[in-house]
Amino acid sequence: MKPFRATISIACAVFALAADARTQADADEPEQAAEEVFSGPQKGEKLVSFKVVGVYDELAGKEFDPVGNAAGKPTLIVFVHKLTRPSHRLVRMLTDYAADRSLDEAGKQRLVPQIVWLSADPSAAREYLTKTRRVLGLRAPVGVSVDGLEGPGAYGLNRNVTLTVLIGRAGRVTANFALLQPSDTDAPRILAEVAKLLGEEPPTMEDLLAAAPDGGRGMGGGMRRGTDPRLLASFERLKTPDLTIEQIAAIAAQIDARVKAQPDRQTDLGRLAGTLTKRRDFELIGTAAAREHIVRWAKAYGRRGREGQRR
Amino acid sequence: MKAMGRLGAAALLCWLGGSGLAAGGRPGEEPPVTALAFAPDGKELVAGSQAGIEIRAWPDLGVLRRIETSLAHVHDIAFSPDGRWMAVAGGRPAESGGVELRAWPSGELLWTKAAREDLVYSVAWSPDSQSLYCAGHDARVFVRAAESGATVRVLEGHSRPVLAACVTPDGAMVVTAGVDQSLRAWDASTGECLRVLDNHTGTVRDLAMRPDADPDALAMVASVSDDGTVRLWQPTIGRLVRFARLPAAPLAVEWTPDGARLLVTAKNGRLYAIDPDTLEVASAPTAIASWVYSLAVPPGGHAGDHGVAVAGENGQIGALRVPIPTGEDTR
Repeated sequence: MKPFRATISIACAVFALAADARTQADADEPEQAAEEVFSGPQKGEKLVSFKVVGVYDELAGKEFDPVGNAAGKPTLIVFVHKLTRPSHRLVRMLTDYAADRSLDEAGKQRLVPQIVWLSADPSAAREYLTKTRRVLGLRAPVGVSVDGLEGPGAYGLNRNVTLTVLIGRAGRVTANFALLQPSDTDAPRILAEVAKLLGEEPPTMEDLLAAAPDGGRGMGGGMRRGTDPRLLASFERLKTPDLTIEQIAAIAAQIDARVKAQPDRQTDLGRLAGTLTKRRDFELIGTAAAREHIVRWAKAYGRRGREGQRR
Repeated sequence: MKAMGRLGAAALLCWLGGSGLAAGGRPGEEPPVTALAFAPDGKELVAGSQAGIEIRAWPDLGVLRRIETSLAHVHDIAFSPDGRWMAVAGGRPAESGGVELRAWPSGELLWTKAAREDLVYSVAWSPDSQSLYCAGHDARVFVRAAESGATVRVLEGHSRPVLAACVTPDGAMVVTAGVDQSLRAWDASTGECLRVLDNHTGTVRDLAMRPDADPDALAMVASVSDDGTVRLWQPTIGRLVRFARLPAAPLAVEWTPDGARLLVTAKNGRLYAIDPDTLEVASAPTAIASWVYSLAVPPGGHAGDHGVAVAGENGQIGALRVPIPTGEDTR
């Protein structure tokens, strides 16, 4: 096997394992699906110093403190509990946005994006991150937590989530996002908090997709080039587990309106919905009401639906 | 853990072997002390083991009297908040389990419920002293009316034995935990399981609810587990707030009465004092070489000037002074 292919295989295997682990964890706690999930210090609480070991460039092998590293400046700290395709896409989207804004016009740091990798085996994690550097394409400093899978105890990170995103300034948390099923549609609301600290307009999903070098696909694929970003954003939003029945109905109505008399968009929607319904963990995605719409679109616009219409 | 200091030998206030034997008796033949609780006035210490129930003076630990019990093993002792009753839990492994309710200070047996087929490990009182939560090896928690002992309801959901139970200061929520590595938060009025807190990766040995110093603060419960951690939770919202990792697996946990420190005993024979906000840890040897099963903190006020009672292997019971701050509540 060629080195690059080996790297891809390793990464894909890790993604698959992470996805399976998440599915198992979710399956064990069905009654918690609709409840707010907490991970890490909440808004207003202190960002306590902790240690990580750097992975890339001048930080490689060196211990550093991400909070001290920020030196009171606005910081975006992404704790990666599990690496999945959607979580990778989101991490890239967040850190790319932050990396593009990390320096002011005078070249001084004004935002410090950082990624903290959580692993039971920090040495293996550093080796993995080094091997897959090109594939992962992370543009923020990456450190592996010395405290293992659960990270620093003072943070109370929830090992059941996929990503914990902390935004802070002057040693205090200004926003906290605990993401069980992250997707790139989480990016606008997270980056709105970063933009607030920088005094900028919050980015839209279209802005972020346009800025992404690969159209936001991340490693291992994702959406087809040319897919309507608004359609994709609405569809991804439907997958979040905390929506009310009314919110789901409104999003579904937006999607129906967007694909009406638009064969290309109907095809895209059918493909997105069809792919999702075939997943083993489909019953754990979003809510039952959202899944009803997804199944409906898969039937109406998916391959079988279109073939049925032709017949 | 940020810092770990050691207490000097002066921290040891008093030390005795079990069953009234002074140190140097025959400690190797004594059963471990598995239950410890202070009487409401803080002047007497009640200890439970396979040898029965003993009432000892505090802090000199001299045996004042013994109480006969039908429970072959005593696993927990808890006084009702109004100070009228003492609940005792235990049984005989794989044979029977039960709870006794006794009047205090007389020790008179008011009722006994021994219908379960295995041990009852823990008892916890509701703040109004009207209900008793009895957690056992059969993975169930029986809620009993204190006056009669009648079963009010049964909390079912744990998949393995339940080792600990505690109640929020407002009495609205019950938290239980055990061998299935999870904490479960129950609605005390309906018995509905509200949420499962599953961040531990080992058996959860004990729970302790933070004293209600600030009525506006969310309830906070501490749990200790074989995974070597002490975790702080806000069970009413399902949040793991923070955790400390100890060098040895912890066995028992209590808060100081002012809620400023967590005290934890461990399998390495040490007592740990933990700042719940900074996670700073201090530790002291207990003179028990191995497992320190039981821990009790005298009731009332600040605990800085008091010792605490610890007990464990070979019937040993000790009084220790711990570094507890008496300053302002830092929450």
